[in-house]
Amino acid sequence: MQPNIKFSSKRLMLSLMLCSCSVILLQNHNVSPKNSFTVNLLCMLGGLAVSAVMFLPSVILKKTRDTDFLTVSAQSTPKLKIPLAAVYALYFVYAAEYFLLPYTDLFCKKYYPEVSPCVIGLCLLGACVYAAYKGANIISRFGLFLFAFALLTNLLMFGGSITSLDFANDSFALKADWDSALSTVIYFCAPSFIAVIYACLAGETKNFTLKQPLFALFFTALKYALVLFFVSFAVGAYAQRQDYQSFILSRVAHFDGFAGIESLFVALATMSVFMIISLFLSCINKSAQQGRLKNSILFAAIIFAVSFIAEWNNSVKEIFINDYIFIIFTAVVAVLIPLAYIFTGRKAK
Amino acid sequence: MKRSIAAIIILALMLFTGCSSSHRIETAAVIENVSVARVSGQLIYTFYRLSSDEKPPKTEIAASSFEEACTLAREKYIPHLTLAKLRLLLVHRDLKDSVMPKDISYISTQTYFSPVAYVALCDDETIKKVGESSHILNTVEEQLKLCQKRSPQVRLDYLSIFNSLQRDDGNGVNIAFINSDKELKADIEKISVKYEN
Repeated sequence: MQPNIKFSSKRLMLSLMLCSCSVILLQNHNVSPKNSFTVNLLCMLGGLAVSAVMFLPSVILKKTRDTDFLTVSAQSTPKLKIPLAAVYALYFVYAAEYFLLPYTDLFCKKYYPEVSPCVIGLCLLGACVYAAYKGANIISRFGLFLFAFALLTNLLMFGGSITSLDFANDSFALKADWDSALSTVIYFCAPSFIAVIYACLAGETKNFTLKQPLFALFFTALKYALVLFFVSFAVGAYAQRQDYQSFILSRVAHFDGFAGIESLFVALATMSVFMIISLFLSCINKSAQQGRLKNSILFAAIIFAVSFIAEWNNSVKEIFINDYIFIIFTAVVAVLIPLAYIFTGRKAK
Repeated sequence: MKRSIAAIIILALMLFTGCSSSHRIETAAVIENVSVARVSGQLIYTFYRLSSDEKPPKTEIAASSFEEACTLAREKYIPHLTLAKLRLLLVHRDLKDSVMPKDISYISTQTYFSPVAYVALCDDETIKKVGESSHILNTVEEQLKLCQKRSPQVRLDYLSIFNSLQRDDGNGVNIAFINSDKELKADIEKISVKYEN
């Protein structure tokens, strides 16, 4: 454990990029089939533009004061330290559920139906506690390995689906249903959660440049565009008959006699969700500023308990996987609260 | 030391997700191909299991659809039925409009079927030959690939047949027909049924 040593900002941003790319792996009827490929692509760009805006407050703090929001708030309003830590902890628990529930659902529905989702969640959370205890530096090192693995899986997934491309499946025309287009835009705002992680961990990094978040969002857009393209033109209407449309791509991928790379897909989703929840627990540790292991265990237990309840009660589950609640909550913790500190800080000066 | 233990645990977890069902595959009945034909007025689905024998072991099930046949197979005949490795669904030519679109529609809703497995029409003789030798399956697949080379518009797998039927504008969808007049050969046959969403 080396809590005071700063690590490369590039490495953290690479990990955040991998986290944001993984959002589309868990996509389950979030992208409307009523819209053509081009409209969905525009919705995706709109959502990522909103995500870029949500990055602004933490980027301003990093660029101007070389620190993160949590440090600024602890210095300027020490009395609000506990309420703020509680708000951020609540957000990270909610966000952890937002990713954990679809992941366990995907694992059990598509890959291994005989296992309980709670067992998968427990195993994953156990690993996340250990990673969060080691800190963001170590997690971002794991991101380097994950980057290589993601590259291989995506190459196989897209390369193996090229022969299934059929341009009669969808069109490039602007065919849109505005209600579903709005919900698609909201869904594609989900990567903005990386702005919250950055707002908490930016102070631990060095050598930040403005290019880094832009590159992260650019590559996220590229990955999303490729997934949308292949789901629309290689899988087509078949995708709408099944859950988890991105997963179908891994089943369609084939190279002559060899077909299906779903094991690689599930491994990529597992490692991505592991990294996301580990980073969330790291952020909780950062906001509490003491008792790393105890905090990680406590919040992992809370996440597990909530996911257990959500597995048994569908209405609870719907609250945790609701895109609108997630985006509003993200906007509050990534934009509104940090902006309040930035403006009050200026007035005080 | 701690790092080594952590690496071993992570490796074990990764292998656990990939190999945990391996013991099931050994004991399961892995189905390689299924054929469907009408015998004495009844639809018969024949499930051919993966085997090293010259003649593939088969289970014949009378059912009104593939969905019912799979359910009956699991409940009564093949308890450890595995359809994830299904390579070919052969449908008798006479059933191309009544049974085939319905069965493909069912397959498209199920997770475990590979979307790129082959579907083809066939005659009585081909169904007999498939039951007599395990090697016929490879010959059929080779013929299907040759057919696609000759006529790129032919649809061979569930994925492309389902998508083509979904957007069928009345001109029909070209699918393969395995004909065994002299030797096994794949020709093209049109089907034209639109699914109701």
